[in-house]
Amino acid sequence: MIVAGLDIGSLTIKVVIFEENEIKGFTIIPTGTDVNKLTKDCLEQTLRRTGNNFRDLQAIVATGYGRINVPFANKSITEITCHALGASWINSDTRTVIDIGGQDSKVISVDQDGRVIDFVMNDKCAAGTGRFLEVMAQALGVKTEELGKESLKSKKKISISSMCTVFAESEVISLIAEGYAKEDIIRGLHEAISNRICSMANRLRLENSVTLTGGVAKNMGMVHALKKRLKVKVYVPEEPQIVGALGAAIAARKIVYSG
Amino acid sequence: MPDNYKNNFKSVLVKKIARNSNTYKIGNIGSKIYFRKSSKSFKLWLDFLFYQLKEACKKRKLVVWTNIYTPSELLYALDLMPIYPELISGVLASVGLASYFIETAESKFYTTDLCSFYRIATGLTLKDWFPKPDLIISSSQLCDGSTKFFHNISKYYNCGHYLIDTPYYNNLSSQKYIISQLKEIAHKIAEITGKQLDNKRLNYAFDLSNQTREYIIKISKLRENIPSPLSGWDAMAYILYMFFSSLGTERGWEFYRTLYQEIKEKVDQGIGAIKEERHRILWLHQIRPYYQNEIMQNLRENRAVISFEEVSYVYWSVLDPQRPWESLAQKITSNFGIGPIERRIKTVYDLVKRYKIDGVIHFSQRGCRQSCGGAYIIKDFLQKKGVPMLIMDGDGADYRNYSKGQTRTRIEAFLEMLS
Repeated sequence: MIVAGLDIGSLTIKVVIFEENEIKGFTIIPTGTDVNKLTKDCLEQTLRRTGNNFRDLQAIVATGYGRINVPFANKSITEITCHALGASWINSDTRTVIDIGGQDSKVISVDQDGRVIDFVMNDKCAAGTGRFLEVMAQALGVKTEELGKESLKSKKKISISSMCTVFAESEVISLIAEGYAKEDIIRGLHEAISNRICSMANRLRLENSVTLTGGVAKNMGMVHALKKRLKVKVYVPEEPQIVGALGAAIAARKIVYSG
Repeated sequence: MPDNYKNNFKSVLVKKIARNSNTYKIGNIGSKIYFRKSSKSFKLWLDFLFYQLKEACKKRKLVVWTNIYTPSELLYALDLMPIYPELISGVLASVGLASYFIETAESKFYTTDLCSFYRIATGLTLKDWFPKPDLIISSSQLCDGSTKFFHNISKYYNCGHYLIDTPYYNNLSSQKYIISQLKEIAHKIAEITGKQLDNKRLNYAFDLSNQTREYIIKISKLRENIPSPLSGWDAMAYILYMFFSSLGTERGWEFYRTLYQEIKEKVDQGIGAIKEERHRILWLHQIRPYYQNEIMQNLRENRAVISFEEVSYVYWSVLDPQRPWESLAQKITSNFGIGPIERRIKTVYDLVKRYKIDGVIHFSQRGCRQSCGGAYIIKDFLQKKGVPMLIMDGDGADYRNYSKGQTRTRIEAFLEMLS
C-alpha cells in the first residue's frame, strides 16, 4: 500500500511517499508562482527517488494553504490535522505539537491517537514565522539556515520590541548600526518569537511531550529559545519540515484502509 | 469644473437623493424585482427596511436614531420613527459600500480598532447624506462603542441624546433606576411633541410585540429539529434586522408569522438548511461577517450548519401593558449579555444542550470588548463539559480584516476535529 502526502506551503512544497508504515521517500522544494506544476514536479521527483509510478499511489491527500486546488488529490485536509497525525506517528508520547511554518504558527493539543483536541493559530500577521526569520536573515547578511548556529554564540541578551516583520527589520538594522553583535540580535529575535509562541501555547493546556514541527524547528537557536521558555520536554524530529506532508500521507492511508 | 466644485455638487446631489422619500419607494420596488425569487419573509424585510427610511425622510414623526438593545416597543409606543445606524451599517457592508464610509471615518481620526459598525455609521454621519435624527435614544448595553458613538452624533447634529444607562447587576435597584430613566424619556418626548403617551398605542405596541415574541419562540422551537430548517447565517442577517427593530409593529408581527410558516413547511417536509447535515454549530456573538465571504460555503462544504445563535435567544418575558415601565425594564435587564459572565455561560450551555450542538464557534469581532472579553472563559467552561469551541477572530463589516485562507483553515480544522 503506497500513498502520498503533499504539503503545499507558503515557502516550500513537501511531498512524502508512505509505504505500509514507513516513509519511503520525501522531497522539499521552494514554492513559486505555478504552484500546481511545482506540486506535480515535486511529486514526480519523489516518485523517481522511490522507484514508483503515479499509478502505484492508492491515495493522495493535500494539506497546507495551497491544498484546495490540487486536481490529483483525493482529499484536502488542514495542516492542523496533518501535523497532529504526523507528529504522533513520529513520537507517540506527544501531546502538544508546535508548528512554526512559513507564514503560520500553531499550537495543537493531541490525544494518544494523534487526534486534535484543540488548537490555536497566530492571528492575521506573520510575525514570528519562517517569513519573519527570512527577512531578518537578509537584513543581517546571514543565510537563514545559519541563524541557529549564530545565535548559540550569543553572550549578551538583547530585547527586540517590534513584532511586526517590517518594523522589526528596521529595528535590527538600527541595532547593527549601533554596533550590537549579530549573534546577540539573532538570539533576541529567537526569544521574541519564543515569547509569542508561548503566549499562544498557554491558551491551551500545554502537556508533555511537545513536538516541534515546521521548517523553523530546524533552527537550533529557535529550539533552544523555546525549550528554555516552555519548561517542558521538547522533541524535534529528524525532518521537522515534512511532518505536515507525513500527516497527509497517514490520512491518505486511512482513506485506503476505510475503502 | 474644478474638483472641489465637482465634489460639492456630487455631495449635494447625493444628499438630495438620499433624503428624498421617493428614493426609498423606488428602491423598494427595484429590490423586490431584483430579489423576486427570494422568500416572502425576505421581501417583507425589504419592505420594512425601505419603509423606515422612507418615513424618516417624510418627517411625519420624530426621527430617532437608536441602537439594537433599546426596546423598540418603547419607541413605537411613543410614536417615534426609529432608525438603526448599526443595522444600516450591516446592510451597507453586505452590498459592498462599507469601505467608503469606513475610510471617511478613519480620515477623521477614528481608530481602526473601533468596531467597524461604528466606523461605518460615523462615516455615514460625516457624509451627512442620511435622514438626520431629531433626537437620539440609546441604551448603554450591550455594545461598548455605542454610547460614545451616539454622543458624538448628537454633537454633530446638535440634537438631544437620551441614554438608558444599564447597570451591571439585575436586581430591584437596577430595575428602579431603569424605570426612572424610561419615564424621564417619555416625559421629555411629551414635552417635545406636546402629546402625552397614548396608552392605546402603548397597549397595541406591547400586544404586537408579545404576539411576535410567540412566533419567535415557536421558530426557535422548530430549529431544534434535525436537520436544522434555518441556518444561523440567514437568522443573523435580514431576520436579525427585524428582531432588533420591528418588535411592536404590525410589519414585525407579519414578518415573523410568515417566517414561522416558511420554517414549519420546511420541518414538515424534512428539508434542512444544508444537505447531509453532519455538524450542528452554535454561533456566539451578535453578528457574523456581512461582506462577501466564504464562511457559509466553508461550513456547508464540510456539512456544518449553524443550528442556532445566542443572539436569537428570547430572554425576556411577556410585556404587561398594565405595568409598562416594569416590563420594559425587565426586558432590558434580563439580557444575559449584561452582568457576570456566568449569566452568558448558563444561556450558552442551555442552548448547546437544547439544540444538540456538536461545536461552538465564537466570532470575535475586532474592537468588541463586551463579547470577546469572556470568550476564553466560555471556552474553558465548555471544554470541561466536553464541548469543543473555536474562537475565530474576524470583522463583521470591514472586509479588509477578512483573510479568506486563514479563516477557511480555522473552520476546516475545527470541523475536522469534530469529525
